[in-house]
Amino acid sequence: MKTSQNISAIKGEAWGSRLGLVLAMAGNAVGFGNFLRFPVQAVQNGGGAFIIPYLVSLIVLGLPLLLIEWSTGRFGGKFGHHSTPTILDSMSKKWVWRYIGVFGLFSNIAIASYYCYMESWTMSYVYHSVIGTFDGLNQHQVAGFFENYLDVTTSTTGIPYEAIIFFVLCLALNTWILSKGLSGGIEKAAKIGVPLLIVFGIFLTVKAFTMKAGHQGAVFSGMEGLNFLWTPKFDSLGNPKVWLAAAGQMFFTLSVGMGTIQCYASYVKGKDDIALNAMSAGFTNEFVEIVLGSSIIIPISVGYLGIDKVIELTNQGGLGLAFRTMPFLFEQWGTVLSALAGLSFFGLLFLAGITSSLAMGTPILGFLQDEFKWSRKNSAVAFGSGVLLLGLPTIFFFQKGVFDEYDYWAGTVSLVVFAMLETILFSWVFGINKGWREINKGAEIKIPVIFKYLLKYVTPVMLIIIFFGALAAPDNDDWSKLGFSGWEVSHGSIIGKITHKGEGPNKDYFAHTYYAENNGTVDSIYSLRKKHYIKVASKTYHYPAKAQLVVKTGDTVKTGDALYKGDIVNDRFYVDMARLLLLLVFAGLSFLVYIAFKKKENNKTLIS
Amino acid sequence: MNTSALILMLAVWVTVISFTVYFFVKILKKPPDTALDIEEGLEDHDNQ
Repeated sequence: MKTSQNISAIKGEAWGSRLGLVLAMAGNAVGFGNFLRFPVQAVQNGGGAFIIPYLVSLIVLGLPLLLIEWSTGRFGGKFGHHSTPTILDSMSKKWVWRYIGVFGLFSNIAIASYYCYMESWTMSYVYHSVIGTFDGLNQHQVAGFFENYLDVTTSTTGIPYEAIIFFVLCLALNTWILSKGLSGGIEKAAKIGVPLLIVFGIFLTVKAFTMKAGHQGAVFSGMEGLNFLWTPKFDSLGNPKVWLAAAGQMFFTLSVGMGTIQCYASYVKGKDDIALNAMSAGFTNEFVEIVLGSSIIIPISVGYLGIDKVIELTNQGGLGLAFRTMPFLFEQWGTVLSALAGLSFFGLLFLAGITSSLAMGTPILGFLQDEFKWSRKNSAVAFGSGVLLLGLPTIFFFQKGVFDEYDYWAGTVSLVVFAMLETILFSWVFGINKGWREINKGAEIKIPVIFKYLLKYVTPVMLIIIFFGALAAPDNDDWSKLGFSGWEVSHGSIIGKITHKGEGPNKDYFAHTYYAENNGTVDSIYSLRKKHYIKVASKTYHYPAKAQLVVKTGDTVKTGDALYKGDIVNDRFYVDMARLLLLLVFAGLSFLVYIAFKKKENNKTLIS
Repeated sequence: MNTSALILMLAVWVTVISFTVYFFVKILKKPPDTALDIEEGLEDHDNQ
């Protein structure tokens, strides 16, 4: 009975075509990071020289992880499993692996909850680019538009709660496509989305390449930006930070360590190739990242703003550059071309985002369908609702650091931990010989035998190094400080985050006094769009309307001096609540896995 | 654009594009059926 139910639940799910599968996998991998993270990482880590650790990471980390995830997915699919708890459980008799597989559910729902929010920004920016909202705005106003957009209580466009409306629209679209199934929804979206994204990318690349100094307001040619990005600074290769940044980029770009690849591959027929499919999808992602990703935001920004300003802007990350600056730069191209460029750029990001968020939904749907016999439609609605609930704190408390917490714990730490453990499982528990046979089963290309040794020794060691690098990175990324007598950890490391290292004097959740977090003179106290601010040197503090100020313009303050009094909820409260929420989500998913396996055991007992 | 940047960029681009095209041509030449063969999996499971 159980078996026939399983078959009927899964039989309707299959890829319609091989091209569809490869494009869906490529779409899963291609995301915001290809266009916004890669070029910024390159600029900050040695320019053209960054490509050397990047390609080394591709060979020793990226490609091996792709092979592991494709082959374990297809292996689990043979038993009707489509999510990592059950896939990993089928590879070992030890019960612990099913709970390690929870990472492959957790990271997807948690990442989707803030990723879909970013996706909704791109949807909104496509709309505003087309209707001409940015026409005539100066650079400061375009940047201000983004700030106001993130502040859900403020509306500059007349649409109340615009950020939430676009987020819900975006989620509804994701849910609808997911409910249409693998071949009827995801595959169709990938077949339209990935080629269209490449067309948009090529259009913007050509535009960047043909930008000339003195034409359409450009100060430098597009080639100047390419030169800036690709000029190799080989001395940077001696810094471990650069190598860790390259390895980190590999995780984000290939979408490994998430459980999405296993899920997609679990719908591949047992004897079909996975080696060639994995390489095709992986290299399509590399093409989009290295060729298109390096040719859009940096060359266009340098063309208008110059190298020094771009270096300053990249310190705020690629997101800031894309949403605070790019619409203003496109404006310089004239009304029609700026609308087209806005549509292409934010449309490209939207397509890159949605093909990835759909992949994040699939393991959750697979788990609910397989283990609880839910229909695809109900599972899709459950995923959409879960993402909505989990995503709302990132919208309402974006400025309080909730979004960053989700990104750190679910989008960074979880991926590294899961990738490290699944590699150990594949190479050392499942066994490299069995694993190698799985990889080569039905393979239409010959994978060089060196990969067998990389998979067994180099990739696990690399992942353990990356994990410890993330756990206890030294302060200021100064790796020369490492020693047996200990070292000061960075506030961005796992230990640093847990201990709230480097946080200012506002440590209590609730307080009646808010203290300055930097030294300097109170430059100004002002109100803007019903919000109130105190500017101390380069730092601006927001204070509640009912607060009682204890400083005035011209005062000199030191870190720890009182700025204002009132009923205050400090950021640490929101940060810790976000962590607690994520922890509860992980525990809840673990409990569902426990129930699912308990049901399986009960069914086995009944049958026997 | 300076020579080292240009050579590096072109070398990487040509390599990445060549691999992508090569793999895609191989895929398009032979599109097998990818439908899930669940019975085969269940057989494997029974054999374990």
